[in-house]
Amino acid sequence: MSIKIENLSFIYNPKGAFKKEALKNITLTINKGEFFGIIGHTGSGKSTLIQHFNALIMPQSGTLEVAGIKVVEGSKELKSLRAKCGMVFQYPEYQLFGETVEEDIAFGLINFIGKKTEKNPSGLTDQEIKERVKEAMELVGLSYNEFAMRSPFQLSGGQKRRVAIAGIIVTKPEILILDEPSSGLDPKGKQEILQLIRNLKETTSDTIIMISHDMDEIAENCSRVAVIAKGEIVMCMSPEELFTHEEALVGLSLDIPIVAKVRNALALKGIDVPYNRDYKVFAKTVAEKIAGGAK
Amino acid sequence: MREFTFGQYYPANSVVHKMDARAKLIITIAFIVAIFVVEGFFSFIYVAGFLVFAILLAKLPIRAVVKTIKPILILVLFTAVLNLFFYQKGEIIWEFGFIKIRDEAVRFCLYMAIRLILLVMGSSLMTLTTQPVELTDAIESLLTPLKWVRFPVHELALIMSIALRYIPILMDEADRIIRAQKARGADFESGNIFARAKAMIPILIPLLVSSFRRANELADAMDARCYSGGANRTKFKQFHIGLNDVMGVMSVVSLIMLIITTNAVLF
Repeated sequence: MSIKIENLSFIYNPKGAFKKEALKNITLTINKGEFFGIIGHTGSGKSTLIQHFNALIMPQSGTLEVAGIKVVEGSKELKSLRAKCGMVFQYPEYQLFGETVEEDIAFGLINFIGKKTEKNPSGLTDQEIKERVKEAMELVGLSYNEFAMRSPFQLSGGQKRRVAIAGIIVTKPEILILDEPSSGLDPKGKQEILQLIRNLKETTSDTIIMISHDMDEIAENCSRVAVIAKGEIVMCMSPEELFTHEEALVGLSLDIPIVAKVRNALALKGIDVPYNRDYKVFAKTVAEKIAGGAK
Repeated sequence: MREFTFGQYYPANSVVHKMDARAKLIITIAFIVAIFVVEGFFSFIYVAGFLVFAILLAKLPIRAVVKTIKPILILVLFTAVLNLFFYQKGEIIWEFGFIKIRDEAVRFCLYMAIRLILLVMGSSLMTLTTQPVELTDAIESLLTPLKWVRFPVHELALIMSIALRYIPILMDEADRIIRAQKARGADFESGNIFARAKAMIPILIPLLVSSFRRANELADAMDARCYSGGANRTKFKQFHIGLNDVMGVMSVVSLIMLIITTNAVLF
C-alpha cells in the first residue's frame, strides 16, 4: 500500500473569521503501482489533499501513512518522505531559480542526499550528481549536452516544465504527484507531457497521482479516479465505471469524454457496448454489435 | 505569513472611515508634527488623549491599533538602549565600569520611545480606516500643485496603488514557491545566518522573475486599453470636504497650539 488515508479532515483558519472546511472525513487507499486520478472543481479541496501526501500540510485530524511513513507533526522522517514522494506543483516552471539547468535539477538531489564530505560519507560526488542529473534530463527528453549549461529562463514553456519535472524525479521518488501537469500547454505539448508521465511510471515512479480538469486525460491514463466535491470524495472508481454516472458528474459541473457520451446515448437506445478509452476500438465494437444485430 | 496585517484596512462604519482621505492625510501629518513639537511629558497626555479619542471615534478595537506597534517594538527598544548609553548630556546618575547613565539620557530615550509608538499608532490609524486606493487618490490630489512644475503626480500615485495592490499577490506567490522548494527538500529553518540567507535564493529568484512577468503582463494590458496617464481622466469616487473634515483638521491644529502654549508656559 502506497498511501493510506483514514478520516482525514482539514480546516483553514479554524479559529479565525475566515474559517473554511477544506477536507471532510476523507478515507482513501492508493495502492502501489496505480495511476490514480483526482478530479474536482476549483476549490474542491484536491490541492489541499495532495499537499498532505508529502507533509507540506500536516493532518489536523485523522491518520495518514505514505510509503510506510506516518505523517505526524515533528516526525524526523518527513524529509525522507518528501524524497520518496515527489510533488510537481501546478506551473512548476515558476519555481526554477538556477543559473544553469544542471544546477536547478541538482537542487533536490543535494538537499535530500547531500554532497560527499567527511561528515556525510553517504553523499554524492560531483561526478555522481552529474550522472543523476543527466539521467533525469534524458528521462524528460532533454539532451544533457544541449541543455545542461543553459539558463532555465531562456527555454520555452514546455522545456521549462520538463526541467522542473526533472528536478523532482532526480531523487527517483516512489510516488509522483502531479497537480494539473498539462495546464497552459498547447495540445502537442499536453500530449508530450502525458507521454512523459506514462514513461516515468515505467521507469522511476511506479505510483502516479495526477490532478486534472480534463476528463480525456483521466480516461486515457488513470486506472482509478476519485471525484472530489466540497472537500468530500463523492466517487472513487475506474474511469469506465465513472463515465456511466453521467448525470451525477454533470451535477458536479464535470464533463465526460465524448466517446463516453456516445456510449451512454447508445446504451439508452438498447445498444450496450463497454466503454473503451481508444475511440477506434470502441467504434469497431459498436460497428460489430450493430452488424451482428442486423443479421 | 498570512498574519502579516500591519495597518491593513479594518472595515467599520464610523465617522473616521467616512472622512475625506485628504483630510485624514493632513491630520496624520499634523499629528506627527505635534508629536515632535512636544517638550515635557505633560503634553504627551494631550497627544495620547487625541489618539484615543480618534480610535474610539473610528470604532476600532483598541487591540487592533496596539497590535500595529508589535513589528517596531524591537526598533523602539534598540534605539532606547542606544540612546540610554550614548547620550552625552546631563548629570551622571549611575556608573558601572565604562557604562555611564545620565539623567538627560533617561529622559531622552523615554521621549524617543513614546514618540515612535505614538507615531506608528497614529499613522496606522489612518491606514486602518482608509482603503489603499483612497489613500493614493488623496496623495495625488494633494500633490496636484506640483503638476505646475511638470512633476508626474498621476504616474506617481498610479505606481503607489499598483505596488500596494501587488503585495497580497506576491505574498501568495511566495507562499507557493516556498511550498514547492520545500517539496524539493529545501530547509529554511536550520543552519547559521549565512546558510539561512543562502536558503532564500531559491525563493527570491523565482519571486523576482514572476514580478517582472506580472509587471510586463500588466503593462501590456494597460497598453491594450490605450491607457495614457492622467490627462482628462475622471474619478469613480469624488472627494467631498464635509463638516467632519473641517472639524478634524481644526482639532489637530488646536492640539498643536495647545502643545506650543504648554511649552511656552512650562519652559
